[in-house]
Amino acid sequence: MAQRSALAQQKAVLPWRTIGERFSSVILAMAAVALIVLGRIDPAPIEKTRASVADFMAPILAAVQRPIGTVRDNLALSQGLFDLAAENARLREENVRLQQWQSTALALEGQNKVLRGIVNLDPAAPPITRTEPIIGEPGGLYVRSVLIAGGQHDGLSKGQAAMVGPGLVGRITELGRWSARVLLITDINSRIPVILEGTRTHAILAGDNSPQPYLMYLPKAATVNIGDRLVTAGHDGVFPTGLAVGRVASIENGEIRVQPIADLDRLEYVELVDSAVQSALTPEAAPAEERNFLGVP
Amino acid sequence: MARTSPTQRLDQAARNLLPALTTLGLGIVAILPIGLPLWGALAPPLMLIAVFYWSLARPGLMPPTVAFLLGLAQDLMTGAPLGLSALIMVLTQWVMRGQQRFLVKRPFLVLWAAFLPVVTTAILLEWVIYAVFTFHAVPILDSLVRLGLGFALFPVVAWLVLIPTHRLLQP
Repeated sequence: MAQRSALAQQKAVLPWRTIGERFSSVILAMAAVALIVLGRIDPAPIEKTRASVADFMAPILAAVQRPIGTVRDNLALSQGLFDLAAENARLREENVRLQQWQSTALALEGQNKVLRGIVNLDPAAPPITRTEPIIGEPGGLYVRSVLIAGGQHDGLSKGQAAMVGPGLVGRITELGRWSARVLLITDINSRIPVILEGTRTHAILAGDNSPQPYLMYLPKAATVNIGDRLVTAGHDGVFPTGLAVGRVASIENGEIRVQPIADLDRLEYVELVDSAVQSALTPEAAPAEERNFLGVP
Repeated sequence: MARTSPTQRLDQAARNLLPALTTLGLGIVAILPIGLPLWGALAPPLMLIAVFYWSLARPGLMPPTVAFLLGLAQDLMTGAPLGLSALIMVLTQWVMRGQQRFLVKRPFLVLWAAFLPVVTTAILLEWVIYAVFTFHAVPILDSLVRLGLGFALFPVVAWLVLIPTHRLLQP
């Protein structure tokens, strides 16, 4: 009898075991290496698989995240209650400053429109944005990316720029039906054409998985100062021009590091900017969006 | 003892899936944006902890194939080069299976100590393989932080998830 129950137990284990014994660890290890090599040669099919896995995971991640989000919000709320007065004062002050900026921006936008008229430039299309929550922060050391709960179904497209608050976060690299992966500007594969705002010098902002990406292909004669602002150049045909990216943080041995304006360590949502956008300023836009596109820190 | 009924067998089969499912669950936890700064960037190797534990505790329920598939799942979820974690998981399972005789039913501290060389090798190997295949050396410091985090979280993961699940497996 005891033998019988042992047999039954073994039977239940059997499916795993038979599959397990058929392939030895060696073959599986070789298969894994082969996959890494194949992924290097042709990443397209893997990207597709990844997008479908993300689609499948999206509802699970979103569901699991809800209680976490609630706890996080409540913590933030109780923390916020303590320094309500100070926060209020700070916001009032900031609001005054932002109103000044807004009027400046509107004046400049008007002037810009006139100048565009003079040089006969195409009128700017209004920026279209969507806000999507972040449902996953996958990555580890090798990839800097986030998963968002919006995909093809929501009208997103590959290559779209993602912002948070006033700063660029990254772009959509993998697009599923219900989810998408946003490659952050700090990722090792991220290359973004940028302009140094003061001098209009062009360069490429390259990530290397560290928190601060660096500038590549900067003309030798270019003068760069710490604190200089960088905006997207837009001549890659993917990004709109003029999205705030970061500020020069350090210049050491010819290596220029840039501190992203967006806080990439604490992302909760991203705003997807329509690729067709020419200008980042809209007088009609809702206040929240205006703040984002003015790039005012 | 009477013949096992279909329900009992179903129950047993479900229990047998638990090691794989807990490992997958930990993989999901590792990518959740839980609001801790750098949590996503450091991605503590929670799945490695689970594969290590189950390879010792219930090797029959964590065969190479399952370790491989779990590794693939991790790669697909995190966006790491496909096959990288799969390789690490298969190797971990392989090595731990060899050590199972020496480590099984040892005090928890011994297990924890044994995890240190495993997580160190795994993370350094991962770093080297990544550097070889992509010609990019990511900052080694991050890897070391991740290593420390994995080691430090071992008891937490074990006591909160793995040991209770293990108890569930032995009614």
